[in-house]
Amino acid sequence: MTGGAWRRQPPEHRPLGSRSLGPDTGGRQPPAVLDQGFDNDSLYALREAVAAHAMQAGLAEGRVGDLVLAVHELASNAIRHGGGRGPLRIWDTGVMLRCEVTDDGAAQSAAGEAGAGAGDAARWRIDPGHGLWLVRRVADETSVQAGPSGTVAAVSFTLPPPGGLPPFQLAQRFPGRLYRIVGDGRARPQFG
Amino acid sequence: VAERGGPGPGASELARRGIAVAPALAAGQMAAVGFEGHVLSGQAFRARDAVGWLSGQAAACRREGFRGLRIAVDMSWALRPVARVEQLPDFEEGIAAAVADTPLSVLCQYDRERFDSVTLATVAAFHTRSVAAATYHADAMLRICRQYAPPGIRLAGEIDHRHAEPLALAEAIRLEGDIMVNMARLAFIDASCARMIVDAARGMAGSRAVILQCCPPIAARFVLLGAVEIPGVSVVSADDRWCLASAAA
Repeated sequence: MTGGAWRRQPPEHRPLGSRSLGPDTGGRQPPAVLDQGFDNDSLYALREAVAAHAMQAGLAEGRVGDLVLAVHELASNAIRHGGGRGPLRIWDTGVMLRCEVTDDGAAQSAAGEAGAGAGDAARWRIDPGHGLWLVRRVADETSVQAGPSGTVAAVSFTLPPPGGLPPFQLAQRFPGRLYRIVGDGRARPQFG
Repeated sequence: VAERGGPGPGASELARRGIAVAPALAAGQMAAVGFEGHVLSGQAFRARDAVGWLSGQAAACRREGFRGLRIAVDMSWALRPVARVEQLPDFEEGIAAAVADTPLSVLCQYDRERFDSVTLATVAAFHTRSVAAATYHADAMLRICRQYAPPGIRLAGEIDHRHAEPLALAEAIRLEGDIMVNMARLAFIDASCARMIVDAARGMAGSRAVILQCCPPIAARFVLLGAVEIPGVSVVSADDRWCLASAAA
């Protein structure tokens, strides 16, 4: 049994091994707004579907791109290091978009191993600069949980409050580091 | 045929590729003319007049004893507020008819960055040959090709780990001088491909500048991966209005 919080993960009270995959709604599980299978040949379709739902839910443009990247990386990880395919499910809690990728690679290999834990740890390892590391940097919450049907990797993105957030801007993210290019082709500081 | 007459900036580019521009101009073998008075007339376009001018040039060359004539036309005039630009397909059709079975060749140069794909598809049908940059990968989702000026490679579409093979970074590394990785038309890049580009940039940036040109969401990936911390590597916006660079750059 493995799994763990990556960042800002709320305390996990559910018994490990339970199949409680959706958002914690006090026992009621609302239907997922998207439930789509994927494999190595359908990642483009997966990204398009995720982007459409993220925009529909009201995420700002830049965060839509972040969400698409995060889901793509989770799916890629399941494809390349896990069972090779899986379902993606998205829930809209009204506060967050929660996206879960289930990788049944652990379940497939568990029969021949003492347990799925060691395999999971290797499959969902976070290396600096690699996909899951990037996921942790862009998502508001991330988690990996092992369960009977496989490993469930989840990311959550906070939805903007009514009225919306200002659009994604590099200038806000990297103050003092953005330069304006002037006529002679050289860069000048723009946001001191 | 370019924006202005005279050798202009194109001459140095031609010279860089081994064409002796000055002697050719002096001998009357080469001429550089502007749009106005040749393709355009008072900022207005008439397909029939433009084709007539090209045909006249071919006839004049024959009279002067030249065996053939090659004309290269920078088509950027068609992006301007020009009257009757809708005659562009007629112009292309007229040229196709005029050059058939003659020693005249006309190269219409359309900038992929600036012309929309519908216009390109419309005019492409009139051309018997098309010349594109050396292409390393092209399918419905992704196109990777060589970029000649500034030197580098250009990626357009969406790229992920399945396309790491044709990323062609090795080709870019073989080029001399500063390198641009043009990702202005790249809509998606995953971590593995972005990391590959950052690693290649780190390897190249010791001796030359590496420019990663991209739209803001893609730029953010490269910033997260530390590209901007590498001296010599800068992340530049697709519209050339801003760049992110290390303090040392």
